[in-house]
Amino acid sequence: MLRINNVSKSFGTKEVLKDLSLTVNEGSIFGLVGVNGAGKSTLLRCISGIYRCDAGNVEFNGIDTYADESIRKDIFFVNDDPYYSLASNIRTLKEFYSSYYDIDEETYQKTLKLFGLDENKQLNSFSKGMKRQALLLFALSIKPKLLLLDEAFDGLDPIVRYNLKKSLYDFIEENEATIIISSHNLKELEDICDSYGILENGKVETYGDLLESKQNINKYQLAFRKDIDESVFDKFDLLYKSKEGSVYSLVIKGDKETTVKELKKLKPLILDTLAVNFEELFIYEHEGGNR
Amino acid sequence: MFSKEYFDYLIRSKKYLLLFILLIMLLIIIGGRDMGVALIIEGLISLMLSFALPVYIFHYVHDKKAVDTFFSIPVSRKALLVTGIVFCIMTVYLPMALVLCFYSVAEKIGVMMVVYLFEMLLAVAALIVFNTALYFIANNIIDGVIMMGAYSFMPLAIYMVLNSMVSSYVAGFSTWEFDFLYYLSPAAMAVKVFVSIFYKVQAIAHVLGLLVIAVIFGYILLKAYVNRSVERAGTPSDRLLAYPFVIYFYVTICLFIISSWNGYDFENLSAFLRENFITYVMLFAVFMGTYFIYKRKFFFPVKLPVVFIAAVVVSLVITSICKSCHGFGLAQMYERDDPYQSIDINAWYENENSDVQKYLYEMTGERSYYYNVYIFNDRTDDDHRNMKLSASTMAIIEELRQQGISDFYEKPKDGSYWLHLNIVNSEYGSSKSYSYQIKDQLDMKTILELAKDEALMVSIETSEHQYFLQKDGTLKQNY
Repeated sequence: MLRINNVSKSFGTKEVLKDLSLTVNEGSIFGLVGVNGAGKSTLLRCISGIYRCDAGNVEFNGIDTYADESIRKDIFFVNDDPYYSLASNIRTLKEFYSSYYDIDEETYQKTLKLFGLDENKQLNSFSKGMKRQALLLFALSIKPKLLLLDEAFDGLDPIVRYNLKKSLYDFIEENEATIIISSHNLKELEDICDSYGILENGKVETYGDLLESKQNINKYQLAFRKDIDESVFDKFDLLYKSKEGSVYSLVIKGDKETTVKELKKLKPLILDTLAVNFEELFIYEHEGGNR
Repeated sequence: MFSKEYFDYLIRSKKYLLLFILLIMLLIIIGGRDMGVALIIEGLISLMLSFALPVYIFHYVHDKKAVDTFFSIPVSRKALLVTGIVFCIMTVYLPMALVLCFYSVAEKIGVMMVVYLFEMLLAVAALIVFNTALYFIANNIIDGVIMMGAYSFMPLAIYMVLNSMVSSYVAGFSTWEFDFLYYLSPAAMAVKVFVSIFYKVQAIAHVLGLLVIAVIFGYILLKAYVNRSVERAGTPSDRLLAYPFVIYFYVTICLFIISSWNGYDFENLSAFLRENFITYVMLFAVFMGTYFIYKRKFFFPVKLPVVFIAAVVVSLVITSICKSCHGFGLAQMYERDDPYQSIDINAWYENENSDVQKYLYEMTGERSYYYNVYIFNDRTDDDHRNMKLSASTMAIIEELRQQGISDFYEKPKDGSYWLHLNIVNSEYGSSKSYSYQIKDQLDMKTILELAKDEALMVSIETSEHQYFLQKDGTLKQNY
């Protein structure tokens, strides 16, 4: 289990993470989302023990990831722009990682084939997406208990994205591992994540089970015979509201059945309920948070 | 504290570098007829490697992307540092040790080889620890290299400014060695140790100096590395000890050199500023240039010219104070009882009515418009090597010295001096020289008094002949 305990991190005068606390359960694929500059990468670097937290700490299976380097054997961080030294190739990279981690040769060969990478080709001649694949190859072959993927799907073509998602499913099924993925591609996250957290203003205040959250936020379309006093919507936890002609579109947080029951009391001519996707969930939560 | 895995990786990944260094070393041993020369060449290569290797091995500290890779692996920061340092030391030291072994066999050094091997190891370790510490002051690779250069040259810069100050403001002081500056420079100390091994002598003080540097900087480095904010990799080097200190240090050094070289004092402020205006403008341009390198952008806050002008004023005030208090009293500091003291007086005359001319005419019948009188104790002469100067000579010298000090601070309006007194104390291999110029001519009575000293030789040169003044006052022509 990953526990982030009251973590704060500043860069100069800019406070990026503010007393952030979060727990991610074992076996979970956690989608970390937030706007640009929200601190997603900083949080992942704090989790992986690269950055020292100004306050608080991160524990994985009860061990501080910064203070005790031994736990980092179970953690692997794939950053958004991997570093490769001059003239290095996948073979030399394997030499590097095999010095500290146990590489599962079977998975290595299987994933190498799946990604279609040339072991002997210089990594600097690879495209950005291929460079990321090279690191993902080791992320999967090392079989860490905690896998951190920063901007995981950026720069990958649809086939590789599909293969990666499939590999991650297999990986989590076989290893009982925890994966934290940060990405702006919420559609991809929605496909694989079972839980999520929205990083905003240095904190993760909105988090939980993705399916539950999606069920808890719904879009309602209502039409009325004549104009109504909009203050009737005040009693709902309204995340979004718009009006086109006599049709209102509302995004309301709360139990679907209860909300429908309450809305029916307003006697609309039409009442339709639509499910929101993860992207809408993020947008509505973000806008709701900023209101 | 040490990671075997990381060390093995370094050996494996840098095998071509290691082979290259080994090859160079073998070429030096095989190609060089003289093992001593091989030792010196290897020493120079090692000196360069001790700067280059920390940059190469610890490049990841200054690379934003590499930080993610190296600091996320299951190796503690302490182990990353210690293992990297050990690898650097090993790479530099082993080839040197091998050359030293060959040298020891060739020179039949015997068991002292073990002592030299240890001294060499200490020198290499101190240099690498120190250079790594300098490299880490910065936040990016280019600045790291700049910091290594800037800090390594600091003792030399201090040496230059001290010499400039003392030669301009302390009567009697010319160029001094300022031995203490050696202890601020691990590179200079390491060179001293390498040279002492070559000459098969001991440089205990420098070995101890290197030991202190290795221990102190090793400790600081370890603490700083563990607490390092790696997120600052690749950003401008704004730590207090990086550009902010380095820029102001060198600007201050330059300002003091300008003011002291040109002999500034309060009396000639306007003339001084007129003469040096362009120099100050150029220095200010360089000052701004360094800020551009530091910030990587054009940066012109109002405080910079204000700070620069304030620094100019402070440098002028300090140099003026230095002059008005006779070099903070240093002009009077002089060791009189040195048994190896050498003196050298050169007096010259362009006056037909001088008592020297009269005396020479009486004794030889020769007339000349121009005369040179040399008074010296010849330490190269076996008969005079260990002779001490007499008390009466010492009294005359001190009188001349005091006159020289007084004349230094009240320079003659016509700028002419008639007497030059040079005193050298050269005990234990280190020499301190005092040099005075005096306005008044040396009278014949004093010359005769000095000629009586057994340790001294007095010669008088005309435009045509050279005479030696004997103890009895007679002149003997030198053919």
